[in-house]
Amino acid sequence: MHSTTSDDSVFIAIRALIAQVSTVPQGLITREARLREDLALDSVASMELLSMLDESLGLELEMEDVLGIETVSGIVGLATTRLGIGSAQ
Amino acid sequence: MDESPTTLVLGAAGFLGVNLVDALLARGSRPRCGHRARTNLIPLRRRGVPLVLADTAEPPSLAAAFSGVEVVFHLAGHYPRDGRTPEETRARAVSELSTVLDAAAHAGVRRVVLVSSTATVAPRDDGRPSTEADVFPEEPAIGAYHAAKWSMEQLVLDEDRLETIVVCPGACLGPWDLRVGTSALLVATARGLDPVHPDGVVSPVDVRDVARALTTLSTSSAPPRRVVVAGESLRLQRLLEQLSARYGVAPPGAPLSDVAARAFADREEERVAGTASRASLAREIVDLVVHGAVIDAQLGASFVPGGLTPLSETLDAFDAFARRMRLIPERSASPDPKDPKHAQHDLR
Repeated sequence: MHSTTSDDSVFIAIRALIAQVSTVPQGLITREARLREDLALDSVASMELLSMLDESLGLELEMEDVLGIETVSGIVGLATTRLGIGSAQ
Repeated sequence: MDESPTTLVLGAAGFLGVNLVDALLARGSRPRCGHRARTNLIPLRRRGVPLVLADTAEPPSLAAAFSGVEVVFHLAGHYPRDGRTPEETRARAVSELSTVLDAAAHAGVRRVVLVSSTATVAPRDDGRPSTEADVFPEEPAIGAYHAAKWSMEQLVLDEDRLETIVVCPGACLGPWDLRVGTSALLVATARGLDPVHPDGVVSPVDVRDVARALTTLSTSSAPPRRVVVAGESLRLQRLLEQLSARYGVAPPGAPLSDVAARAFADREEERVAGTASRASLAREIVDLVVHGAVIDAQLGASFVPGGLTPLSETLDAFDAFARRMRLIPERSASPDPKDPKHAQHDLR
C-alpha cells in the first residue's frame, strides 16, 4: 500500500497513542495489526484509544464512527478521512 | 436563570453517567463531568459539558473537582470485573468511597448521591415484594459484587458530615450501554446466540428513568436515605423468551442450575484473566439473577417525572441505539410495534 507523507504522520501519531494503552512492543504496532488479537486491546481499551485520538487530533468523532473498527489501518483511515487527508491508493 | 445546584457527576463517561448528563441538561443544569484519566470521553465531548479529572483513587483530583460543588452524584464506585477475590474487592470499593466522602466533606459538598444496586435488596421470607426497608442485616456471603455494594451502602448510610442518599437501580437497560454490560444477554439473544444463562428474578429498568430519578432526588428537600428504582420484577427465562419472540429467533435453551451457573462464570473468569477477552457470563450477573428479589419500587417510581417507562419502550430505545452502534446487526429482525407480543407494556 502506498501512502502519503501526511498519512504516514497520522500513522506515527496513532502508533504513539497505541503504545500508551497496549503492552505490546511498538515495533509490532503495524498498520495491519488487529486491535484485539494482535495488540491485546479489549473493547474498553479500544474506546479509550479512540477517545485519545479524538482529543489529540481534534477529530470531533461520533461513537457511530468508531464502533466496529478492528485494525490500526481502520483507525488511520478514519483519522485521515476526518482530517481531509487523502490516502494514495 | 438556572437555579439548579452546582453538580458533579463522578463516572460521567459511563452508561448511566451519559444518561444522567442528558437528564441534567434537559432540566437546564450543566453538570461538571468527572472522569478517570483513561476513559472514553467522546460522548461527553460532543455534549459540550465541562470535563474534569476526578479519580476516586487520587484525592487531589477529587479536591479540585469538588471545589464549589453542592451535589455529587457518585456513579464511579469500584465495579469488580473479577469476582474471585471478594475481600480485596470490598476493601478497594470501601477505600475509594471513603476517599470520595472525605474529599466531599472537606470541599463543603452538601449532598452525595451514591448509585448502588438492587444487589443490596434482600428477598423477604414472607414472599412479599421487597422495598427500601429490606436490607441484608449483614454482609451477604454471595460474591464480590454483593459484598462490595453492601459495604459501600453501609459506609454512606453511616456518614454524618454530608447529606447522603443511596439509590439502588435494577438492571439498567437503554441507550449508551457501550460496554454492553447488563444488555449483554439482550444483544446475544437478538443475534440468535442463545446465551448461557442462569434463572432467577430480575427487575429491569430504563436507564433514563434512573437518571430522571437521580435529578429529582438531587433537589428534593427531604429525600429518603435509600431509594430503589426498578421496573416490575420477572423471571430472566421469561424475559429471554419474550426477547426471542421479539427478534424472531429460537427460544432460549434451558437455564443452568444455580450451582452450574456459578461454576461456569468462575471458569470464564479464569479463562479470560489477563487477556483482552471478557467472560461470556459474568459472576456478578449470575449472583444478581440467582439471588434477585421481587421488588416493589413504588417509592422510587414517585421520583421519576411521568412515571416509569414501559419495558417495551425501553427495549425499543435500546434496540434503536444498538443498531445505530452496530451492536445488533441489521439482519436481526426489527421488532414490529404492531405485534401484540411487542406492544404490551408488561412482558411477563
